[in-house]
Amino acid sequence: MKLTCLSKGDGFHYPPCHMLNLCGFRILIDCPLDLSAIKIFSPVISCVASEASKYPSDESLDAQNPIQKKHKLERQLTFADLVCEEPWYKTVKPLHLWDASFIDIVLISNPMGLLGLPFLTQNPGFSAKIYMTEATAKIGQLMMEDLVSMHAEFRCFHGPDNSSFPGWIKNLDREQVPALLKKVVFGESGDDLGSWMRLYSLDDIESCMKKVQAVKFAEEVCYNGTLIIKALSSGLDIGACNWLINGPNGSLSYVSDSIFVSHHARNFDFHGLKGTDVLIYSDFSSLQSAEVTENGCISPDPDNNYISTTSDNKDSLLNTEDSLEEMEKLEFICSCAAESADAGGSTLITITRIGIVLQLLELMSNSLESSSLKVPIFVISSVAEELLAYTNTIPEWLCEQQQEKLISGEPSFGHLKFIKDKKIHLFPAIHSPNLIYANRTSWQEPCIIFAPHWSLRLGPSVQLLQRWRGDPKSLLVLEDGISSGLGLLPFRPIAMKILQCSFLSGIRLQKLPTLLSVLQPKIVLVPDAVNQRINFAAMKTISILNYFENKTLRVPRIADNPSVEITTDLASKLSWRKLRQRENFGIARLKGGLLMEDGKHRLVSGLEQEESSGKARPLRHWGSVAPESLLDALLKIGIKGSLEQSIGETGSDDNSIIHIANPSSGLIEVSEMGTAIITDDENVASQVFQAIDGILDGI
Amino acid sequence: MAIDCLVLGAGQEIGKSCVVVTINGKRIMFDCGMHMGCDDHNRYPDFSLVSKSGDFDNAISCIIITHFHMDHVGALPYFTEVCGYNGPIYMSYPTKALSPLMLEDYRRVMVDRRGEDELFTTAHIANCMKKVIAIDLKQTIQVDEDLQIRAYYAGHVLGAVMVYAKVGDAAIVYTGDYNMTTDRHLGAAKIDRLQLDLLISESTYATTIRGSKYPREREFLQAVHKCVAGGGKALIPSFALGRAQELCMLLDDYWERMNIKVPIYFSSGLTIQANMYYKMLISWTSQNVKEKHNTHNPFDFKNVKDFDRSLIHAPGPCVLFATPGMLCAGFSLEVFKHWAPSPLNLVALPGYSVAGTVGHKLMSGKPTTVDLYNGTKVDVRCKIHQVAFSPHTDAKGIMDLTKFLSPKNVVLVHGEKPSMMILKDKITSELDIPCFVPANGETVSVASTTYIKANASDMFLKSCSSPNFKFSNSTQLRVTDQRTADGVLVIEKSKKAKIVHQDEVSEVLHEKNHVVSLAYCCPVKVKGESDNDADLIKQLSEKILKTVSGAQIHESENFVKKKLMSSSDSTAARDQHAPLLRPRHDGSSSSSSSSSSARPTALAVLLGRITGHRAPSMLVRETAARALEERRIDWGYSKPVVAADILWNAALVLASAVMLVGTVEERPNEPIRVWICGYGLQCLIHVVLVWSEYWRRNTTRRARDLESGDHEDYSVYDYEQDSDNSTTYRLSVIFLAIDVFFAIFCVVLACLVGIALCCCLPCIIALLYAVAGTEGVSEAELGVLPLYKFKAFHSNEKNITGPGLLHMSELIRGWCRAS
Repeated sequence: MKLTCLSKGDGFHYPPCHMLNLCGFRILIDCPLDLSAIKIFSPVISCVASEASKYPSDESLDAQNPIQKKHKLERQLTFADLVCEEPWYKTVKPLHLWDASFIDIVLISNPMGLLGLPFLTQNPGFSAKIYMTEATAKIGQLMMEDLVSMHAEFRCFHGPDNSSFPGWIKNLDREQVPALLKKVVFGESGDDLGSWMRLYSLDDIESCMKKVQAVKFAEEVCYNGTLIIKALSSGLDIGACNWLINGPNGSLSYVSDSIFVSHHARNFDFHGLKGTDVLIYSDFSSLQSAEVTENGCISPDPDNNYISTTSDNKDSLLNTEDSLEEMEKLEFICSCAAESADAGGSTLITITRIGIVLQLLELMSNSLESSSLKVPIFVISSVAEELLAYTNTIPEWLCEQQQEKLISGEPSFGHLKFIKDKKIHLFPAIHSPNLIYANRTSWQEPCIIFAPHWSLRLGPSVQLLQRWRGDPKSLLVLEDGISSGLGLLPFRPIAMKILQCSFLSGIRLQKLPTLLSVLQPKIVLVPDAVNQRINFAAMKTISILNYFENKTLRVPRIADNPSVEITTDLASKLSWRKLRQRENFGIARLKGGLLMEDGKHRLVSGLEQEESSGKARPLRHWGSVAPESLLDALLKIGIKGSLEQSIGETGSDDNSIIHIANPSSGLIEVSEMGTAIITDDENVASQVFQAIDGILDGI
Repeated sequence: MAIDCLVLGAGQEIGKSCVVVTINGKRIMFDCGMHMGCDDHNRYPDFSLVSKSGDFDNAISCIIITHFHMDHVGALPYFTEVCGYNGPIYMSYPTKALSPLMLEDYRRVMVDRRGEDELFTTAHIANCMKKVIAIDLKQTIQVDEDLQIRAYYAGHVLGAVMVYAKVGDAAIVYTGDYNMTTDRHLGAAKIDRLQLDLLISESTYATTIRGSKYPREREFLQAVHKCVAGGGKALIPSFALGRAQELCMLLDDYWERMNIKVPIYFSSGLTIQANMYYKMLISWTSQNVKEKHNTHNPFDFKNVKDFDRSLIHAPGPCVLFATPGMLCAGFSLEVFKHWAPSPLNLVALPGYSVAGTVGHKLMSGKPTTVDLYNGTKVDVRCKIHQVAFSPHTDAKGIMDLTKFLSPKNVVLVHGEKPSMMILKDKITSELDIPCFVPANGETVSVASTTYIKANASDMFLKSCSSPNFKFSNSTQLRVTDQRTADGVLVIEKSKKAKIVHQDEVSEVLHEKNHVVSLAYCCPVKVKGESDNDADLIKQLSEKILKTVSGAQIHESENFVKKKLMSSSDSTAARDQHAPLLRPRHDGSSSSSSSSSSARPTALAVLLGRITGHRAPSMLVRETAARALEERRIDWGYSKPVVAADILWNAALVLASAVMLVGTVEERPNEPIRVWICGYGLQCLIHVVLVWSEYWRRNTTRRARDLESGDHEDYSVYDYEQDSDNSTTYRLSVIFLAIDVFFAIFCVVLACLVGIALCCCLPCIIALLYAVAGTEGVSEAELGVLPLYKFKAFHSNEKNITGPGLLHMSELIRGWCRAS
């Protein structure tokens, strides 16, 4: 087994990407898109000209001055530095080094990991089987369609451009371009250029989704009769999963970003992942958060006792601390939104994580209803209606609380009721006629708006932010990490309140040892960065290997020899031999055909050809023939012979020769290595052969 | 290792499905239903057969419920709460959501309306449902170490599943109820090709084969439409879930299309609530519905309203879905009591009705009065429509599924005994699969698959993974690939079996290989001096090596061999012997191949001489043509033809004779009598000739049949004879033909005249009329026509005609609209 980590990703929206070589099959796990790189492009803002000229005018004058060039490099980034072109999208760079036609399987573990897949399936040689859960396929498809529809705005603005080379890159290669921008475009080592791609079209998405084989949680799918692949819920989001792959050479589990107790999606499935041979731990989410909080090495929780039984451990993993914390965060957002609405300001929520959005919608409408504030909630997205309708028809993919609702006959999420009561309004776009013109009563400020995209470059959030940025009463709710760097650049100066929230998007590092002691894998592959931060000394029974980005790690096979199953009717047909020298051995030559079925080698009775050609097969013998005993055996069947010891030239005197005189002449050479029967009488030869066969063990 | 299948319910009957299967020691109960037609203790399966002591937790590993119908889930609260089973229960999500509704509904019907003792309480149902674990389709669930279950889509009702259970290597499928065709709202049953030891299938329609559903749907819609159009009320007694939704989708759709405003009611809030579930469980419906639901959820019925008890006697037409189905009790029966006496009303009975219910009585005949539950009698004057929408598969579906899965054994349950027996025979004879039809309480035992497991060495697997073709051409070219035969299974006492490659065996046994080789010793006679023996042997061996592949030559043993052979074979003193290690069959095969290649050429020459230079295909064609000719002539002389000919001519002769005798007195001007005489004579001669020819032919044929050999000369002679006689023969045939032709001609002429007189005239008139009349005037034309006329009347003849004509134009317009 070989593992190559192609990219370690970055947070929830950019999951890691791996290439795995298992049983000779090449498996790609996840195919994400680095959407944070889109920040280098400038958004489509209706009043760009006036804004740009008003604010950074003096600085742009400076830019003309060649003397101050040196100084310019250290200057603050401005809006004008952003690339004002139709955006391109950054894919996983090392993936382009692999031939797409040699990939056998693609596993997509969450909707974010699907976004880059159309780039791969565009390749004419691509023929891999793509597995993902049904919910991932549906939500991922909607997200891709949303992305394309939001991108269409750019296309309208910049006009059609079909050149295969991005012209804007030339402009970026100049000296006065800020280093931050360069780093995003060209990467650390300056070779990321090839990973920029023009966005796919709706047709590409459709043809990509046609190749997908959707699975359910815990459904066993068999690839090529060899690998049995199973998706197990990871708890991160609706439809997000970990993978369990069973092959003839042992089992492998892939743990992606996971949340043990989730408030909307199905909880982390411990049961299925237990006791695998190899576990690939690919949760990088802890690294980002750990960097902020602690710099040292995190030692496992002191109160965690490793000797305790696994059930205790499981309980400690399943404690609801984290999830309560998450709920508190959501409630805090709600209260902030209510506060600003009270003060007459609007709230723009750019979070696009479906689970979070669904919970926020429900919480927010509940809290608004109780507080008697008359603030409408808008959800503006081209796929909002379909997505929200879809989430109410998938009780199988949700957590137990939501399933309870199904049993009692309520819809899974509360938003359905609020949409009916006209508390939540869904609009496909900001320029929808219903929103602005036809029904003026629906638009009302202050309001609470859910609008994509979290990168603040695409979609309705751009216009809304532009509208409210000067309003100190309004609130902007962002995802973690947007406000730093380029994120808010086009909108500066901002008077709005900004709430930046980071949600749990993976396993906390402290919990990793406990998780491993529950799952009990034989080998664990962890990213080197994780290994540096955590002390695995306590895990004695588990061998831990590190993997690095863009390096191939070879994992030795630890399972026993693969087992072969033989059908009983075939086994009864085998002709058994008891060995003469060794009493407790029984041997038999196999028959039938070897198949690979359900990940198991199986020997079944095949075409019956043995009768005709079975006799022609050369026999194998082992042991040694004592000339005396052979003489005795020959006498019994009526062949007389005489023994002659010959001394070989090499000095080994084991060569003995038996002359046969009766019934016809011949001789038998007997040595340690073999026996030669030399005669011109076939009958005699066969008799002698049988006699030898009677002395030796053979098959 | 065996599988025991104990049938607790639905054995040779329909109702209270319950099958307990023991696979390699694990016991699984499939379904736990109650009988709807029984009121006594027989209503529940006999659970004491599972465990005498009542310790069901240890006796049964798990219960799996396939769908929410009462005859599949009805006894579950009783079993868990009263009998005390606490183990796991598995159901699909919809079943888990909907069965409490069904159970509660049934309980209410039983207790509130019939006044029976409570079998289980609401609390029982709630407690019981808490123990249920919901499963998704195709989700593989490990119940315990060994037992694995998986659900497949069955399409019978929302959430119906087929269950696959596997313990070790033995696997079975219990189908529950299933439907192999796509429904208006549900898909067809779907299952993987599995290796099964036992298939337990329902067989409700074991002998019926049904056609398309669309005519039946149309019939139903028409019946309902006719009823409401006539101001009647349509009652559709059905269970709250399943059929009701399907029919409602159908009606709602129809109402929309036809723009009918008659209200459709659901009798209880239960069905409305059920619709809520249907809306959420879209993923369990058919592909068609799933695709549509993004824009409009098909279970959002537009015309459906809640029913109120007061509406029973309200005037005006309506359609009512009332629970329960089968008219066995409750509200539907009450409504039936009120509505049945009116001939305007309609009762549409969907699906199957269990014997003993009112529904069954209505279906089985057309009764005028029906006994209700407590002695009340009701006159039945309303129309009764039977909707044959059964969500069960038909006989073909059962056969298809069985064929597809090809299990080792089949058990049929959930059907009526006579038809099950027929199906059993069909499965046994057509598919060659042993089939069982156990009655309630009986156990069927079948053997289960087990695999012997062995660890395989890498060398063996590697050698198996690459093709290893062997070619042999003993009689014909054979390609064999026996990779596995390189493998050797080694079993050491008290150790796991191992599979190794044959080259590895000695290693495993810690022994050395011992090669046993055979050498063929053939004398080579050489005349020459003994000095250059060595050279000779060298030359010889080189030659042999060139011609025989794979040969090995022991050269160094020259001396030994020479000595040996000279002692044994003293006469050939000068012979040199080169012992060759070579495959023995080599020589023989080459010789045989040479001889076989020589033989065909000799055969070919021989064949060529016999046939001369005529191509064989020509010969064949000639013989075929001759055979055809012969057969045709034979037909001409077949007995009926000859008899008819003779009879006809004899009749003519007779007629002419009678005419001659009868008209003796007549003195015609022409010599017509001579002519008649001549004609009669000619007929007579013809008869004689034909008879003689027929007789001769018969005798020769008999003679020819007796002769065994097919003589060339004879056939030529025969042929000539034929051509000789054929003139007379032809003559007679021509005569005959003329006669027959005239007779037929006369008859036909007479007939034609008659027909022309009788029918052709009106026919032609009608035809002309039709041609002259409107032949497909387009709608647009019609639309213009009356308008034009109307105006014309107005302008020209307004004063003269007036209202009469106006009325007419109205009529025309009305007719136009209708068309």
